[in-house]
Amino acid sequence: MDFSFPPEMVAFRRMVREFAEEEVRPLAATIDREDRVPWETIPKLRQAGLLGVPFPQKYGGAGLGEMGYCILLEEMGRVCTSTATFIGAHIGIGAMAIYLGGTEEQKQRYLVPLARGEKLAAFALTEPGAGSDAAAIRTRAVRDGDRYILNGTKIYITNGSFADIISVMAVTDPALGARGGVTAFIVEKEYPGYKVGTIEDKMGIRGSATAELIFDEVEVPAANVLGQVGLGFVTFMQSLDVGRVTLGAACLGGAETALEMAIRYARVREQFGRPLAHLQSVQFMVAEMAAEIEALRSLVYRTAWLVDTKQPFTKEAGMCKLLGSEIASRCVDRAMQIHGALGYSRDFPLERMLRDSRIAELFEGTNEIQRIVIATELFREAGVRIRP
Amino acid sequence: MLRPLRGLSMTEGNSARHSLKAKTMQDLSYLEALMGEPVGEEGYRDIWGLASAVEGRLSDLSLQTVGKARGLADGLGAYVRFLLAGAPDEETAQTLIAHGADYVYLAPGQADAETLAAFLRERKPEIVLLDDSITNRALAARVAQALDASLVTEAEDVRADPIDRALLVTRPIYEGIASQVIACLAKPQIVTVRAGAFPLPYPDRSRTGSIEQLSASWQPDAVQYEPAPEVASPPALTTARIVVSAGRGMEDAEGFALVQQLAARLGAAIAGDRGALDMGWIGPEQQVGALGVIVTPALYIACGIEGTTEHYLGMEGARAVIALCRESDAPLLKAADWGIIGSPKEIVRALVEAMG
Amino acid sequence: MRIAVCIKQILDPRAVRLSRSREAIDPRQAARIVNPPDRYALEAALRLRERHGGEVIALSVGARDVSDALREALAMGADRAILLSDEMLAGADASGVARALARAVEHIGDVSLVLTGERALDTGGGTLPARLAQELGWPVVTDASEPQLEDSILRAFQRDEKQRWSVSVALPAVLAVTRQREKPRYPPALRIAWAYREAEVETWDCDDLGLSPEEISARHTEERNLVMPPERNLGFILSGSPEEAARSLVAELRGKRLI
Repeated sequence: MDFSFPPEMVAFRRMVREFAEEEVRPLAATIDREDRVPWETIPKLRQAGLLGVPFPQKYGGAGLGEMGYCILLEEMGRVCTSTATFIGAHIGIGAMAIYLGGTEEQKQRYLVPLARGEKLAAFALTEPGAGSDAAAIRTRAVRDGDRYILNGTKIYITNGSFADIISVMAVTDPALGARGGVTAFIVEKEYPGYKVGTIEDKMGIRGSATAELIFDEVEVPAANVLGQVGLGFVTFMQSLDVGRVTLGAACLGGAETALEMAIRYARVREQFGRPLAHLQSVQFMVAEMAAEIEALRSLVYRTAWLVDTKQPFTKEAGMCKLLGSEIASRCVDRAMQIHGALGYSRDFPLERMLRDSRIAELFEGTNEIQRIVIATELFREAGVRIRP
Repeated sequence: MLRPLRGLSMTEGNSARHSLKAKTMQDLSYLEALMGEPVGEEGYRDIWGLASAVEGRLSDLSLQTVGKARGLADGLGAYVRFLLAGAPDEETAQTLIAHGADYVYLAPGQADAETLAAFLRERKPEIVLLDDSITNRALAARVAQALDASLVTEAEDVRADPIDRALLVTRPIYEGIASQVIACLAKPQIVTVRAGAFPLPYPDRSRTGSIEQLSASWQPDAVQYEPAPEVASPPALTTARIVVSAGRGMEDAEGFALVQQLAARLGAAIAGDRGALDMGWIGPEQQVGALGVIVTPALYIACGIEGTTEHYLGMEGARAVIALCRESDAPLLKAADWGIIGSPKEIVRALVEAMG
Repeated sequence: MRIAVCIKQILDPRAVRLSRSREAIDPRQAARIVNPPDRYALEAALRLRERHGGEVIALSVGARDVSDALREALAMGADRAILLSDEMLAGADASGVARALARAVEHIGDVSLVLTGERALDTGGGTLPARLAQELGWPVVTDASEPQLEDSILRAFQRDEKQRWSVSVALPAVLAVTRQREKPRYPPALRIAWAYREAEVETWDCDDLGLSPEEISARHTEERNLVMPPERNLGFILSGSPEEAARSLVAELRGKRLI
């Protein structure tokens, strides 16, 4: 067992940390306040090759795998959850779906520009009537010769307002439903009938655009079917699994920042004649934060190793997401408690971090879904098949 | 490996020698008699220096350097010999003598490494002291490399080991978090002396010394220098060496203007606390504190800032802190190396004046 | 044009702490990084290459683990990286290092510009550029910024203690670059992967350079003890009228060389 990172990962983290500190942190409060995407950061991310980190070099990526991708999101999560979310939606689920389910031709045509950052991706699954219950989606795809006609509405789509290439789930056979009746498609934003609807006004991650997408008689070539017809869920669940690991990494970054802030403040803030650090109540909070963060770090990078060595990781991915989001929320909450009213100030990052951290318990499959995913795997290993 | 140098073009010109006053300099013969051999090893002797006269004046640093040379020479039993470059005249030479030099050699022009190295190779000084500057550091480095000499730059302190006469030079490391004592093992021992490292010596106008004109011809520099327009750019707040920071205690726009004057005088970055932001004096990118920017300057001057924990988190990394506060119980006073209690406006005004 | 960039691996000066009890530097928190000014030199070299073509070669001296610094240079965009590594060099001081680097520049051949950082931020005295120039017999410009090339004349700016200069020098020359304006680029992720997994760092020893021990191993100086800065004595109040207090403060600050 060797827990040290290989030299290229150490060098990559050093670069990303510097990038995050210099380019991302200074904008974090601004994009939150102005409720806008950090447009000025995107060309810099592209130039630094950060929009295709996990993908092989032959597809325009950096070839740094899931471990490099986790490092990227951990470092981004340390400074700006919105930027981490933007990258996560682009790489982790948008482009990842094409990488995992696409044909060679689709990868050349779509994945390469995405990995190079020339095009941006989104992943469209959720609908007004279907979120955690993904099988309830109603967007329809009807075959018409060598094309499909898509009709329906997707909501809460991260990067939706500007994505060039969108991976979309639609029902191809209502009779079969989730078991063989749902197919994934690659949609380009130029296709006639594709429209961006309402942009959500959110509590947190306000620097990431969350949009409604409307498909009105959108013609999609049959060549753009992602994976096999009817097996869309398989494709999508695989990329969601990968995304959950890195979401855990982003949460890890946020939790680390909260702990560092708490220690810094408790060291100097005096109450009752001595720094907060000497109060046992504060010591307990800091100790619990550190212990949870250490456990999360081990889990995230071990799971990344499972992904990179092509071992099963569905259960661990669910754990990364479940524990990561809860630990991040708890750490930010404790840090705010230690900071008192200062932490509650809107001029202070903790207030934003508190709003931002909450989303991780909700999106990419609520934490309740994660528990089901983990339990399903556990019982499957014990020979019991859980039915939803 | 020493590269062949261009022809030695600098020798003492006998004809040009115009020694002025009777020599009443230190007589070292008693020391040599005592030790039974010439002072200094392998014929390396005396302390040489290089100063430059600009418009009939010597910089304070040059005077500090010659004063230090005198002190070392008295301890070691040696003469202080200075090359006077630039536009030297008799008066500046006399000034060098009054501050401690025994011999002054007038060598007009800009010193260059080849000529200086050749000269020092011939004269074999035990110690060479130069003012620390960008130009002299490069000059000293080239000379040291050519002569296989020891060299320490940016000296804060220079002592001679009383037993083996080796110089022990103190210089800052890691951008000044500590200083390192370095022993010189090779001769000549070349040192560039930092401004302010040593006091200005008291001039003794009755000191006498010899002034000689060298038939000097320094080599022209291969690098062309032309004055370039200044680009007015105050240092970035996060990397500034000095930060001057304003708070509500500066009262009004007039008070803040004084803070700006102080910053300009020091070449410092301007900042403020949350109060200064509220007053509209600074932008959010200049606000020091946990809510704003975190700064780590060598010196932080808080003008009219009483000090909250929030503000403290932004400047606790400063290596030295000055707090100018109205109230004697201002929290920042406890975290400051120096505090002054009173009207911050009046104090800042007095500070600008005191700096001249 | 062939440009050599000399880089040094140092302990991150921002993370170096002082241990007062042991009167020593405590490097435990400090990672080994490329000396920050050297990254500016590399950036300047890459910009010159982008404009005028040619080749950028990163050079460093040290044990094998220094190759990480050279890999970072490759990741940023250097075409070649050469490590001068030899037991004989382990004890070399600035003089020996300059000699070895100069010999390597000659060994590479056809180099018309050597760039390096203004100084090493660890214990460097800022003498390497001029020493190197002396060994090569080339002119040197220290504390330079924004180098530009016009018909084999190199132009740059230099700020000395008093003012800013526009300097020009015919190549070949040595240029020491300050940390100004043109910030070093982020090494692209793809190049990081390549530099650390596949790229070759050439290693030369003293035999390759024809260097004899006498040329490089002579010790000119020796590091002795550290001098700790005085403990801060907080809460000192200067009394008197504003004028008196201001005068004593200015005297204190000048005495401590803070202004």
